[in-house]
Amino acid sequence: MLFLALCFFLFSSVVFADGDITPPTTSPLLSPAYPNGENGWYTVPVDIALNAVDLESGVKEINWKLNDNLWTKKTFSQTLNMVINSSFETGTEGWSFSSFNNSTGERTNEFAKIGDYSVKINSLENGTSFFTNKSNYVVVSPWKTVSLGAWLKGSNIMGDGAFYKIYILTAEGSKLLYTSSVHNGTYDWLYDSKDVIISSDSAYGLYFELILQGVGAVYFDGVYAAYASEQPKAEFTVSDNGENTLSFYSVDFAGNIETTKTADFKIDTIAPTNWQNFEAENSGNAHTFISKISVSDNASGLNANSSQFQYSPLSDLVWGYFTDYENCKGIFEAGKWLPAAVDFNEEGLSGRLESPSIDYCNSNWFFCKGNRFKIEDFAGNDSTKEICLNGPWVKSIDGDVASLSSIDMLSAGAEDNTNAMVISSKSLSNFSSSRNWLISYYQNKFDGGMYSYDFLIGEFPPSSTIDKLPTENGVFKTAKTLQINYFAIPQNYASRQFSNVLFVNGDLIVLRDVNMKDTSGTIFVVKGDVLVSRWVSFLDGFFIVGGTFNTSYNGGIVDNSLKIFGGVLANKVYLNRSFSTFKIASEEPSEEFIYDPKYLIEFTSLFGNASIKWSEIFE
Amino acid sequence: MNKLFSCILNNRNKGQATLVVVVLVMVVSLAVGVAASNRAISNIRMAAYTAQGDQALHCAESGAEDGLNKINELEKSSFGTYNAVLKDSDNVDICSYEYTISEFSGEVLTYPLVKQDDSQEVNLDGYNGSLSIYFGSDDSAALEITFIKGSSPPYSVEKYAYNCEELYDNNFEDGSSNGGEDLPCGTESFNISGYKIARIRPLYADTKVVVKFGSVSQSQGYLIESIGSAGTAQRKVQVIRTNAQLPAIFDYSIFSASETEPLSK
Repeated sequence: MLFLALCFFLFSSVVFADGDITPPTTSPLLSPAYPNGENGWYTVPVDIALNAVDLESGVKEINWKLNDNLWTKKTFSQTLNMVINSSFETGTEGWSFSSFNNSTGERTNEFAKIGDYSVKINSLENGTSFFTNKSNYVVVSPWKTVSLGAWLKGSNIMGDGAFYKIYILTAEGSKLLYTSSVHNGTYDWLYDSKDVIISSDSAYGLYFELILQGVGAVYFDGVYAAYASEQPKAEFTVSDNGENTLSFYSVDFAGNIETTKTADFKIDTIAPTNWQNFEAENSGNAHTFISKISVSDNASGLNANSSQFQYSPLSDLVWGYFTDYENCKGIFEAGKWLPAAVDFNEEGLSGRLESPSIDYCNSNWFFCKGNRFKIEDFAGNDSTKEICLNGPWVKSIDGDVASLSSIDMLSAGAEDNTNAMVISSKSLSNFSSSRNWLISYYQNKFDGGMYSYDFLIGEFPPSSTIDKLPTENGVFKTAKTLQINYFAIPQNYASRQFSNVLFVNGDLIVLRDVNMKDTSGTIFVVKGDVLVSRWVSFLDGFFIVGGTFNTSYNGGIVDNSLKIFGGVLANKVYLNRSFSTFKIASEEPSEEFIYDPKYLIEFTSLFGNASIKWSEIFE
Repeated sequence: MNKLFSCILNNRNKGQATLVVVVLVMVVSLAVGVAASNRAISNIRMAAYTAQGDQALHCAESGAEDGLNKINELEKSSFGTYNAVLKDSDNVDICSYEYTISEFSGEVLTYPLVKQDDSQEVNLDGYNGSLSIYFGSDDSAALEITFIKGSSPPYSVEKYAYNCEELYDNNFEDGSSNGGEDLPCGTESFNISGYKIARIRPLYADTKVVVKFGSVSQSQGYLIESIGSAGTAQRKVQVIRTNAQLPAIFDYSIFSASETEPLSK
């Protein structure tokens, strides 16, 4: 007897498993259910729920992978469907059919979602018919959450439609617990599910009514009820731009493995970007130009039929075009667009937009003569780029340029903006690199805490407090805001030899040029803002700024550019300068950041730290 | 066997059969007991060894910490081998360590992990010869290499950038055909003369970096190799303390740290 009991204990799972030879069925539910963009593209991340159903041994695991990524697995402890004869594979035992005169209810193998059979209700006259498992109800406990569901397939259903109801059995009798959505018309298999709470102290069971109320035919299959905590579902969000293939399958507790299925969907959440390489080519009188600019969209590609152009020739910044735009004559069509020509690359992912030849009416270059290009991608995301024909531009030499937000320049210069790397954590527009090292939407691991005033002054404590620019080696601080004026610049400052760090406990207001020897340098760590006067042309130093670095705090229109020899890290960088004449604006940058590597070499003992790398060696 | 069963089932030999059953039960019980105790002993041994292994690792780390303190105090005078035994409050030995401090230099320098957007500086001052850099323990990583050239200011700058996989539209060079030193990707072989430093900055992901020189490199800092022992267990840790270097932000001419305000003009 003991031996038999032991055998039963050891092999019971095998015995039960042997009874289940049907693999689970997994279905993906996407949200939004249908692509919200154009041409079958989603323009938002897609929420995906993989719902698995196994009506016998239950779903043990759901596996999925996106594109070529590794498989992800979600496992479940128990997912047994508590509905008996839930897919009608063994007849209609446990279910009864209630009909009116001209309706029929039968088990059929005409269509099936789970296994080979379903039940069909067919009615030629308006009325209510249903299958119910009331006599073979599901045993449940009060106040537990139960996941309920059923597959439906409809054919020409009219009237109130097809749906199901859930009743609970209580000491006081049956009570309606839930009514599903109503499904009309003709549709392929859909899974209608809901989590509900058994909301009665005396509830001891629940049962389904699978209902057709109207005319037409409906098929029901895979009727499901399981405690919600055991519901076999995997939910995740996909935000990968491009054409995605989701592969998935489930395994049940009997070891049956579902054949891998796939779902394809396309996501493009990013509007056309990388507006670059603006150029204005003279095409007539001194104020007639053809403007060109490059743009790209790496997911769905650029829509050639959507490229448009408008301009603002006068100081009022009203956008549109003159009906005789080549001669600045006719009516100004405010708010309207001209078509822009596009020259695409082979894949259609990038292109160069070209305006018609436009007469901008006069040579008053003091005001921005604005161009505005617009284009859509195939997903329907649109992007516009405004750019000044004669606007100021910035240049950076040798040092990398980064923004934890976007980089967006209104104007383009005669040369590339930099010869180094450009890294933007969002979009990157009209900032060019002679190497084309342009990175947008980069997830930067920059740790701002390491560069805060309070952190750095703790790491490199100053030796003394001063109120002018230091000319000795060492670390110094100011007690308050420092104004770099005539009195704050020591005599012979430009010829003195020093390497120092100056902590400015307030703002740094730069009213005069700061020139140092090539071999000298100062790292300014500024708690507040760095405010550079419009009259300043040269600024030496590496600036770590807790607030804003403003290149022209007292008015932006200037005749001189600002050259900064060193580098700038600031919470915000305001490039405020602009020139008053077209000639200067096109040829000379209004701000020029000339990276100085001397800080890397000469400041290691003053501002450097050793890095310490630990590893365990296995021999 | 048939005889045994017939013996057991034969009422006339009931006493004998009972004795045989009792002996069988005892033998089985003994076998189960021995197996269980062997398993228990094995588990205890395993637990003890695991505990000793942990102690050995902690001891090796203590040695390395001690080595770092010595470097801070003595700098290059700290080169040598040191050992100690750690005891508990009852003066019973817990574990011991032995560590060696030496110069971190050689023809092949391994940096086990350089974090994304951090910079690892390599001293090239006075070195003439070839230099290759390997990376890609995470093949989604890319590298920017910045060389600073010249003997005194103004120094000049040379930059290179490599992807490991063709994952990005960034116009970097393809490093996947230059792998070596057990890493899938690498740079071209640079011919170094008159360079001060190289700054190596991973993008997109952390990565192991190996720098291979044509001959022994300049000193890059200190190397501590520490072995901890507890019982029969031994563990070894390696600590690289590099020369002092400025952080990655000094590779930029403009860095706008606001996540909401664009860098615009």
